[in-house]
Amino acid sequence: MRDFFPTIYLWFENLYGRNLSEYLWGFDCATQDFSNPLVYNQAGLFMLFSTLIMALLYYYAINHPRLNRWRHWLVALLTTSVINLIFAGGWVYSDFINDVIGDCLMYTRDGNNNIVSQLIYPSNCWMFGIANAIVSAGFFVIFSFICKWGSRNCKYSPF
Amino acid sequence: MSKLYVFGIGGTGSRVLRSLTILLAAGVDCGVDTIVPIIIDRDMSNGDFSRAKLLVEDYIEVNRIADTKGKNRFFKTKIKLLNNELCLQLRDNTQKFNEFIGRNTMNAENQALVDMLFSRETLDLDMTAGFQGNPNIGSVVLNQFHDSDIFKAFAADFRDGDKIFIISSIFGGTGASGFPLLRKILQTPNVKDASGNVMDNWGLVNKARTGAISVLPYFNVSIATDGSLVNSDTFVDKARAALSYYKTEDKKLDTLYYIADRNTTTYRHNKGGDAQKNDAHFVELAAALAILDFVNPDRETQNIHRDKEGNIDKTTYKEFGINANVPKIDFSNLADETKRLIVNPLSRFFLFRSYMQYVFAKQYKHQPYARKRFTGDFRQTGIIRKIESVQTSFYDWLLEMEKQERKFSPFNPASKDAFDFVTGSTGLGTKSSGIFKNWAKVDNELNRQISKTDKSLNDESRFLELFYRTAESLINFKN
Repeated sequence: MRDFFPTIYLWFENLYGRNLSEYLWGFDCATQDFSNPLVYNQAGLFMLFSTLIMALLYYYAINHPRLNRWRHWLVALLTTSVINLIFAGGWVYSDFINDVIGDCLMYTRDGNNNIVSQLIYPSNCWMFGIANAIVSAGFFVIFSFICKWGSRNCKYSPF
Repeated sequence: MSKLYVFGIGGTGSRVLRSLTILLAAGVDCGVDTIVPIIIDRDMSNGDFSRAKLLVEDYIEVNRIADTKGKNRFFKTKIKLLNNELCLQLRDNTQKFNEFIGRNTMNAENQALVDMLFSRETLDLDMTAGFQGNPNIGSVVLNQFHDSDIFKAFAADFRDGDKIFIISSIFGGTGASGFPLLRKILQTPNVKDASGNVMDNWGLVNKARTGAISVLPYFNVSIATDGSLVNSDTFVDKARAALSYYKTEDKKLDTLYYIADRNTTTYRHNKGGDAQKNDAHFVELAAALAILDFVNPDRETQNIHRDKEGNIDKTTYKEFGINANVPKIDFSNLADETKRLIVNPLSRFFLFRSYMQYVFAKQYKHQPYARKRFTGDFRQTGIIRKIESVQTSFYDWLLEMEKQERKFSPFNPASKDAFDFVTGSTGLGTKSSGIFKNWAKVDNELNRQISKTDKSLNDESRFLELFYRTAESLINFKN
């Protein structure tokens, strides 16, 4: 169960790179072990709950007869994805600028401890945000099929 | 299963029947299960009759699917035609009055007598367009009801507990002459049919509870240019003369209603035929309410006074009034009991009609209530077309009443709003609330109510049940 979210995110690892993925797995440069908190699970849980809340909002709180076309459902899905993109991307970017990400994951250094190359860029953080948005879109679809049957006005949204 | 036989005599009979049918379509409470209308009019081609006939036929079709055993009240009361006919056809079909009385075959003395009793114009009158305001010839020609097949069917169909109501105008020809004649025949013992046999159940007919409405002048007609004998200058005098005769009807009817309006509209003169298609008038609606009052079980002690033998002890006389003498009537001008009777049904039916007119086509593909039920060709099915045809008649009826000198204008017919169509201050204020505005609120209610309808109903019945439940939930005027 611990690996549930990481396994999903790993499908998109190519988007944001292996080094950021290591950080998200909880790799600790000091111990050279995965002993830090598992960021994948924290991001995944937020993504899961926010997506569920958005689906519940769409199907039960908004539940509007004029907002039950597939395009309205798509707007709800995209909104959920954007929220998750900003949240996950922003969270990791915040770690990036606050030097929370371990140095061994951030840079390649020579024998004099000079930076030879940078391994994680801000773009990697936002690419993780995009990966999170894609995963949230997938969950929104799943939640839609579960939630829609109890909805009065959006029962057949998206179809 | 009690029935009410409604005899509508002449053009007024047809027009009141039209109003009654619309009220029943809207779901106004009716104290009997079945209405059996019988129109008596020699001018079967007149527009008023044709319009009432089409409406009644559409209503009957819709009524077949309206008994949903649920909450539905739209089209709930059954309307039944005897022998599948609305009009009681007189066997005689002669055109001229002098042919009808056989003047040419009379001897010279009798011809002289006839010439003394009837003017040349009256003798030469073409009766195919009715009696054109001549009750003196109507009373001669109409004295043959009992020879008709429908009258025979009426007797055969009559059961203990059934009631009779007669609609007629007092200021024209057919109604003024037909009413006392019909009343007399209905209460004459052992009336025989054309074959000489006593009519079935005639004893029950003789004893039946009988009400009538006599419609006094409420419109004028312009001066005739086609040689017609109809002249509205004589309406009041004719009414007065007839009323003095109707005094003799006391204790022969259980309840006799009178209605009139001095604020008259002048209609374009028509001799008869298809062109005689008068706009609907509030007086006709009020006359239709008299019928519902007569069969209202709560009014029985007020309307019916019989002795232990079942003979009429006293005739109850009733008139209809509004709260104020206003040229434009809306719901707020009606008495509380009238409001209780018609505000909700008419408003709900108006909402149903507006939804079908402005919203259904745009929404049925998207709303859960319609999914796999009311999609595709559903709207083109016969019954739904009939429902919409009645709704169109209802709308036309409202528009026509707005054209009169004394208008009945309870709704703003141009309104395309779901909750802002009732005029005047009725307190009927189901406003949009929450996140659902206007028609979205109606769709939300339709989507809510669909799960409460009986799934075993066929789609058409379920459609009617659904719309009634929705309209009832959204419009609930409490007086």
